[in-house]
Amino acid sequence: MGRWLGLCSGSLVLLVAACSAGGSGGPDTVLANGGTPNSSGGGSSGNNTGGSSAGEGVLPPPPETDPTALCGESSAGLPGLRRLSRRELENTLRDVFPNLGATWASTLSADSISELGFDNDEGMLLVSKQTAREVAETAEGVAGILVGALPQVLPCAQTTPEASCAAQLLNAQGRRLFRRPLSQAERDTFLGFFNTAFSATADFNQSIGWLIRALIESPEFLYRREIGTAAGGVVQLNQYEIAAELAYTFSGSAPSEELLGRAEQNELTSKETLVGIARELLVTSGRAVVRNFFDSYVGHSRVTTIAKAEVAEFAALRPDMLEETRRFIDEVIFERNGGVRELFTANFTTPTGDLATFYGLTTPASDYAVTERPAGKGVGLLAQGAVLATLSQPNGSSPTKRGLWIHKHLLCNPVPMVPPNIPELDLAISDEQRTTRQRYSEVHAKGGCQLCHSRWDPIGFAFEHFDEAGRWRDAEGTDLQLPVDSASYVPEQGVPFDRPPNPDAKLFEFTGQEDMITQLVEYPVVHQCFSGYLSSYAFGGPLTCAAETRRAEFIAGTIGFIDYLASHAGEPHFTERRVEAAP
Amino acid sequence: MAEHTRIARARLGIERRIFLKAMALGVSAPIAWQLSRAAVAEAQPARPKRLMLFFMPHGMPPEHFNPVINGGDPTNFSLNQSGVSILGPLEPWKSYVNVLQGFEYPGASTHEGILTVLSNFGTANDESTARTSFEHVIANGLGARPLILGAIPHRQWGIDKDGKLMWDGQPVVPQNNPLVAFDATFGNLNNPDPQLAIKTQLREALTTLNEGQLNSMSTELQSLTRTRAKLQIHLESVQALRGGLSGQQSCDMVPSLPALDALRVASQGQPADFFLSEDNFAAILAAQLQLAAQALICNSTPVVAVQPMYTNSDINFAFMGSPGSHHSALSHTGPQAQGTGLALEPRVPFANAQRWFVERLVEHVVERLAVPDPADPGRQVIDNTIIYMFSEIGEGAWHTSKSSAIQLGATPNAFAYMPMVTIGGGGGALRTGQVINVNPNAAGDDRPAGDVYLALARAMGVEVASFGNATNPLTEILT
Repeated sequence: MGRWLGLCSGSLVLLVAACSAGGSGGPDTVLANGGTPNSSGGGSSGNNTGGSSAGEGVLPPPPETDPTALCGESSAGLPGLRRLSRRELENTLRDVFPNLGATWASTLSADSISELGFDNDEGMLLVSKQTAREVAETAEGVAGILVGALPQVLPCAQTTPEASCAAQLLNAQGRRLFRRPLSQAERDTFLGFFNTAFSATADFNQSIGWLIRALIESPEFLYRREIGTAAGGVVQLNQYEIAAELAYTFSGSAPSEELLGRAEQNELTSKETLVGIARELLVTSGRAVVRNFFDSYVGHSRVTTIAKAEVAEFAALRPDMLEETRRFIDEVIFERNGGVRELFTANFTTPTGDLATFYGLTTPASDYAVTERPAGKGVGLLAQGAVLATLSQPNGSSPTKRGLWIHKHLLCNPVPMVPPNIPELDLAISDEQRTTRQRYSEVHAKGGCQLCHSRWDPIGFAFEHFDEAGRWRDAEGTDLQLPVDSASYVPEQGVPFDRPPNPDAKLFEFTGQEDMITQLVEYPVVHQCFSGYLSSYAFGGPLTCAAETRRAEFIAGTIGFIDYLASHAGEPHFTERRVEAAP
Repeated sequence: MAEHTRIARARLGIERRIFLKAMALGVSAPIAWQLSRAAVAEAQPARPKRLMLFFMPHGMPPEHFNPVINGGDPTNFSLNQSGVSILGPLEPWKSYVNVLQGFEYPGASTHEGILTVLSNFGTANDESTARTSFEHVIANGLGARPLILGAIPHRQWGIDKDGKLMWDGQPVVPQNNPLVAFDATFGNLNNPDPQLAIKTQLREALTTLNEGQLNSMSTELQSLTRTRAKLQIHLESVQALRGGLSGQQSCDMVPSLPALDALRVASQGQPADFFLSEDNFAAILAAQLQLAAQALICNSTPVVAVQPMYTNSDINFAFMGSPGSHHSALSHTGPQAQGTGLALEPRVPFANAQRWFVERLVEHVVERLAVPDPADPGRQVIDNTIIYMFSEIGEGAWHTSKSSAIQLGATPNAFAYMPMVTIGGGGGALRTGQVINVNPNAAGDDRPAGDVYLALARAMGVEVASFGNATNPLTEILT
């Protein structure tokens, strides 16, 4: 990978010294991986440092990843166990035990989120003391509910309340929870525990409750196995492991009975079959998976928890804003089979009538109906009210937050730690003499601030026509006496942090959000970056070069988001793993 | 237990020393051990001890925070004569207060210090190294499960490094819903479980079952380095389920807490993210502080903590009269010189926001602890409690992690220290009513913050050898 983003984007937060060399210019400039705008590039990169030996209970640091890295072909990662995230655990229990109800939730605390922002990173998902306690509490709660509905959960409890009935639970729900049939040894162990409970309580129902608790607390439930069997220098995952991977990756929950049946029949073998199943899962039950990706990648779901004290209507409209963005994404991804270009440049949105009035858009035919945006007043995901409000201050817009998001999430550039001794910042909103842009320009152009802020604030100025609640504005100030200026530029890239980018060496100039994003999506690095994030999410960890087979097509825009995501099921990592070298 | 801490409960240590002395005198081992235990029982005061941590994010403006020392006497000081006087609400409680200055945090220069501040261990931005922060070291040493609460302590979709303040090997996620915490703490007071013995027996059997499965998996997967490490962490976590239950409750009635009761009503029928919504921050914090105080009063647990916000949080403090993001607008407002000192006016909004936290602490905790101690007749709960108040950085705008001169001209205008305050008598273990500055005018070397934690652990009856590079307890605060 070229110097432009390669070294600097290793783990997104690297030391300044790690970033070196430069390269900038217009669309003809050679960019990362030797690519130019409208080409997919080539070359290779792989800085997977692997795991080092672990001490007792100490997890080795995760390998670094480069979301933009392109490789000639896909490679597989290492075998291992993957703890269910809170989301996956709750989905599984609701699916396996419908009696819990659709609104049931566990007592698990929030999961740790990775540097890339995702809650399913295998390296972050551990069973800490707190997790173990909360899993036990959750299991107790679930068992309590299910014992109260035992005739529906386990009909034989009414007719044959004995060990054979407990065995039926293991055969049915136990199989779903473990995502495979239990071995005879496991059956014996769990039935032995059931008998212990029955001896202590002399109560069949209570004993079934304890058995349910044991299944939920079992590491065989809490971890998805991606272990396989080593043969010929490669680890081949087994059919049930592949079934679980398909189900969790593309529907966010446990494999269905049908999918387990296909695993039992050894049908999950060809790449075409796996990709077909993945696509089917995505379109039938995978909207929540896609939604969770964007919630984490963009962060807009936070809109329902933030406040804009100076925008009276905001509190009532927050839920609509979130739903608007989710509908917008669904429309682009699922209905129009779109990709990166469509996501960021679509000239429509999906507001409610109230939101349309709030934004100043044409009233939709019905709430959340597709509504065309006026030309020149914003396009795509980054013109969504939920996104703009989230990437703002509580009482003003934020060129820094908006520009920084693009710097990190579309250009995959590093974000250094905030330095000590930050000088005075005077960003008070109640300034009737200067626009937001002027104040940010003055403050962040001084001293050490410019070393970093000159990389993203100029990009963020593109959004200045949108206020902190996502509404269009032509001017600021009490009397609208301060005209908004959204003409700016994307700075040169790959500049080490010991100097600011050269303002004369711009990547390109633009006027406003629509112009900026329309030009930016022509750069392959944006598609490389996005696809790198998506693959890290799909595979649940920072893998480099694990999903290359159809990546060039995705970067070129010839396949959409759904097809690219589904293609992960056909990658080597989905069915096999490297043999871990001896420490 | 993390490698960097070696814990021995003080009682056991004393017992061991007496035991060894007795053995040296030729007393047989069983009798020597009995003697040692009896001697300790006689020597140890029966006073209960409680610890509460209270986090105040984003540092302080020192011109509004530093106490004013009168006549060079560190026991003669004012908390209400520094600008807005962030510590002013504590002036009536001054005899219970220690203000500590001249300490530094390790491995960090800005807000990422939240990762290392309470363990005095680790390097900047390091989320992966196992560590245990001192409140968990103390709780573990006491065999207790701490009550860890947080008002919007992490981002809505998960906890990242900005929220990882407390650690017990792995990060501990504060409970953001005080209703859940309240029910878990007090819910069974009126409903003792008649099947408790059976449940305990089966819980033990289930833990053994889980251990067996984990050991089998570890054996099966021993060639997989990362997997084996995960399973080892899991195994230790399962084993921890055996101990660490809550303390002996001294309350026999489910308490009524006004802020919590109000929150229960307000949250009914609300969406799941109600307890992460900025609109509800003040109400959630009030309920959590009242719950924390009540848990201490009732001896539900000897260790509680309340974490309002995560670092870099942009909660708008307009609700208390300081409009703007707490982090990027209020805390980032820089100091300005006025004469030889600092101008007060520029940072009044930030100072008021920080004072608001102290006001809430005094209102919901300190004043509530000024009641007769049900576990120590004749004294108040505050006499037997240590409240430790702190931030992850020192100077809010300058993001300092060690004592620093705020110098805007030729000479220093002010000195910024890490904000560290103790409130309460600590069961007679703390010497209070002092400003202790171990690095006056930031002219020399700071001492590690871990020295304070070593002293607080000792005050709580838990002897700890080190926290990171800290090995010398701050004995100045100990009686």
